[in-house]
Amino acid sequence: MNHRRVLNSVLVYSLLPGMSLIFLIPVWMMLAGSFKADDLVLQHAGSLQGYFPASMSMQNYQDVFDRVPFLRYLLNSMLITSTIVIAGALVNSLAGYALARLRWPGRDWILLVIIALMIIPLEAIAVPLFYEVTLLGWRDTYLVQIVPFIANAFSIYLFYTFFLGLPREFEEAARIDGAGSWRIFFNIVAPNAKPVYAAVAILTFLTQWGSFLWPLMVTHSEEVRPLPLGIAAFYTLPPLQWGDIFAFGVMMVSPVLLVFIVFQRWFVAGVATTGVKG
Amino acid sequence: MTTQPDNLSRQDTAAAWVFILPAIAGLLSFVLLPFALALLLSFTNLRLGSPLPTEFMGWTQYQRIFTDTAFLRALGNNTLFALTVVPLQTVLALLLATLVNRPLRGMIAFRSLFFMPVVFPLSLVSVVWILMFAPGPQGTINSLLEFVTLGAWQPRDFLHDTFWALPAITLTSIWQGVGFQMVILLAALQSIPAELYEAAKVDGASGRQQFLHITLPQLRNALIFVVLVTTILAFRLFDQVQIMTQGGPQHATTTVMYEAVNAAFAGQQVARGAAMTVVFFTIVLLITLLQRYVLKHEKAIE
Amino acid sequence: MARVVFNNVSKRFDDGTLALQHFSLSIQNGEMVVLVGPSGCGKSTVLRLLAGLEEVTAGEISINNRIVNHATPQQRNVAMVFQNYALYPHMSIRRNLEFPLRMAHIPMPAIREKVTAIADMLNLSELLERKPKQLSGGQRQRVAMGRALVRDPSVFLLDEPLSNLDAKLRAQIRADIAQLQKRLHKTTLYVTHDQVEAMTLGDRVAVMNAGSIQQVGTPDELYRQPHNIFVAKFIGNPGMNIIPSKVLNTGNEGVDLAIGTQVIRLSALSQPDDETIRKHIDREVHVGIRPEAFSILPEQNSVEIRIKTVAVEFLGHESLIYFNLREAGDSCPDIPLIARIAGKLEQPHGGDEMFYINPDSVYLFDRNGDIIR
Repeated sequence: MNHRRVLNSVLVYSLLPGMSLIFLIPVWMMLAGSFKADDLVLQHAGSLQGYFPASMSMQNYQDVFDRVPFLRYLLNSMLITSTIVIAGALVNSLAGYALARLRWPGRDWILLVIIALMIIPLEAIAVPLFYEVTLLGWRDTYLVQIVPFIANAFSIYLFYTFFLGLPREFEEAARIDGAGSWRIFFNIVAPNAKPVYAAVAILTFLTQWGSFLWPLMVTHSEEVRPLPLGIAAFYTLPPLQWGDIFAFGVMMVSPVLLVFIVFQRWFVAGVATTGVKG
Repeated sequence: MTTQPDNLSRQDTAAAWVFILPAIAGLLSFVLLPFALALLLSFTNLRLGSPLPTEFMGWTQYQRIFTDTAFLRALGNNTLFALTVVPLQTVLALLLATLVNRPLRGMIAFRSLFFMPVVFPLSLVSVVWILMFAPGPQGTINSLLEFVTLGAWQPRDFLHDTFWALPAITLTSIWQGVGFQMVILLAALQSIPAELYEAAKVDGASGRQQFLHITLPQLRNALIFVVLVTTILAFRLFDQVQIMTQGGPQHATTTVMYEAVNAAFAGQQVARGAAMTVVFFTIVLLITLLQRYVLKHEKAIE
Repeated sequence: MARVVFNNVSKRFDDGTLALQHFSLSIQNGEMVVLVGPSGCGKSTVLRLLAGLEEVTAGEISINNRIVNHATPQQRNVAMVFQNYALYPHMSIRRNLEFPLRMAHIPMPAIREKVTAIADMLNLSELLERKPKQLSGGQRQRVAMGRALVRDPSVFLLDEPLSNLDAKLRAQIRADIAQLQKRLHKTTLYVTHDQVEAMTLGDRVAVMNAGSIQQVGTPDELYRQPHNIFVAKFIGNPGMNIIPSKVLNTGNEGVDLAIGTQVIRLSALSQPDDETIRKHIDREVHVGIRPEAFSILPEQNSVEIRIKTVAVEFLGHESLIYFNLREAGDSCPDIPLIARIAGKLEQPHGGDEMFYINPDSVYLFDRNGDIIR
């Protein structure tokens, strides 16, 4: 037993660093590469020099700003994602609450439809949606990247299950105290639903921040394009400068990484909630 | 006893419609309508900017795509991709989850590290891994394999190799996505009551027996969920392909979504793209129904 | 100040369950009525109907002769203390107490004044800036009372307000509530599953089962004159022993009761020609005996029954004796019975003993469980 336990720990402590290396190497390579001269990045990719640069420069970062409107991409991404996250939290939580708590004819029927809609991924409707927004004349705008993604069946479902589990007494006490439905929702329910708001906000953020397919289909001008398209375009922009690309990548991911490190408990909890329904 | 009109539920009804209206409007116009449109358009010949009038064509689009070698290749690639990614990623996620599910200091750091790629946009991950797979002896993966095989490895251009391109995308995808599944499994692991393990220990079960007879059965639902989500994600594969290989070489990495977007976007063949997304949705639906069936079936056994 | 009347109220929920049928009850101004019954008997539904959280399916509820069937809780001017207190977790105690007043659009200076007054009365002044989580169970209970009382409701509703407290605190707060109610003289409806609370608190007690009232009366009436077996078993701690029996005709001497193979002679004392009993001659009946009616020593006029002790619980001031009836031939019918005997019971021999009962303390119920005498 003791012998086995020792073996077990040895296994754990040798596996963990090995695994960590696999997860670390590409990130580290990007970080190190972003400080190196462009031609050296590829040259050093297979050697230790690639990870411990002898000399560092900020030239690549300067180049990114010179070659593409990086800030524009960043602001677009932030504007699009934050609008979807905030409006989505409001719209979907109200819907989830109506389904979980209010009594009205048609409720069960609409709940069923929403649960059915959860299995339709964006990809399944991308082409007709593309056609639809073309007819609406929305292509190449912020609107087309925001409005279709505010209402979300899965978010509604997450709110719905959370509100179902919330003790009814708070709302009943408030009703007896004289509060109406709106006030009950905003003064009593919402302040006590922070975990689910955080979970939905983080999940929405993760999908929208990395969104690539949809903006690729519906936008073509840099004024409205988000970061993921920026890096893809930058990668294909000749001349191929790996140092610049990595500098772009570092700048693209560091704000998110910072948020992740600060709120990592919430991220993990948020993602874990998706599995709860299983 | 006759039911009187209930004043309370009348108040509720008024509030409920106001609460749910924005969400209903959104889902109706941007999910349900396009979904219906997909079905409808797939039976037409609609092309954007085409002078020809749109006509009903019956199953013609479906006949066309199912005789198109590129699309058939895409279906095959998606299936192959799913068949490799799902087991690999699930097992790896389970391994990582059990590794970090220990009450030791520093485990949170490892957990964060394994989860970190999830916050990386796939587009960025794809670009970074293009360099990882760089051709020639100085490419990271090439030189690593050369080191491991003591020089026997012949460097190759993974992303332009009809055999290696799809595995390269597979590896990239697992690297980015495994943390998500790990977190779901970790949450499931941590919700297993400690008493079960204590009881098993008292009953003399070894570590391996505990894993087989307690951990795995308790994780069943979470594992089925992870398999479902990963399978569906595998069929949604697009970003990596678009950036890393553009479906090539020789359709070696093309996918259903890549073909659909190309048809609708590059070729303006909206109807053809719609037919492809209908096929895609049918696959997703079948996978979901299969999961429901498995869950129900297992419940019936209990 | 208010008088509450339930007139033939029924409630059927959306899923079809009939929670309440033909429920009638009136609560006098300033009276405290306790609704007691097992879980699922409909007592909470009564409270929620009065609060305005549910609407009646049929019948009428009136407060001060005004029918309030469709009135909002606020229009009814009722206040309620919830089982788990339902203090708003994200608000300070002060905000909790202010909330109902804010909803009533009372000007801020008046709100402050009322909150201060109620906090003083309930000893909450020190706690006003805390959050509910930082309070003990007893303190939360007081805040819940305060939030209900602060807007001076005409009817005060309490839903199992003591069930989340430990036994010692429960007794104390029970006394506090009784005192507060006497002082404020508020019309109060109090719901509990605990008959001890009901007996100690209620001016009157309504015993409920399966959606209807079994009996309404003062605690004393319920204890001495239960209308049926349900009430007899529910009231008292432990409740009344019920034994299937048969009324025997012994000719001129009157009636005897057969319990198993034993015979209890009621004829010796009771009016032998008591018509109500004689009507049941040769019929199945139920004999009811309170645990405290047994004694181990014969008293004047008492009759004896042979018993077999199963277990004894010594509680200090009294002993609970679990026993069966001992039959001829030593077979014991499987009816678990309980007796309460003051002090400690010496148990010298192997469980076979005699108990003595006064025939006057024997209740008789008919086959349907309704009282005969």
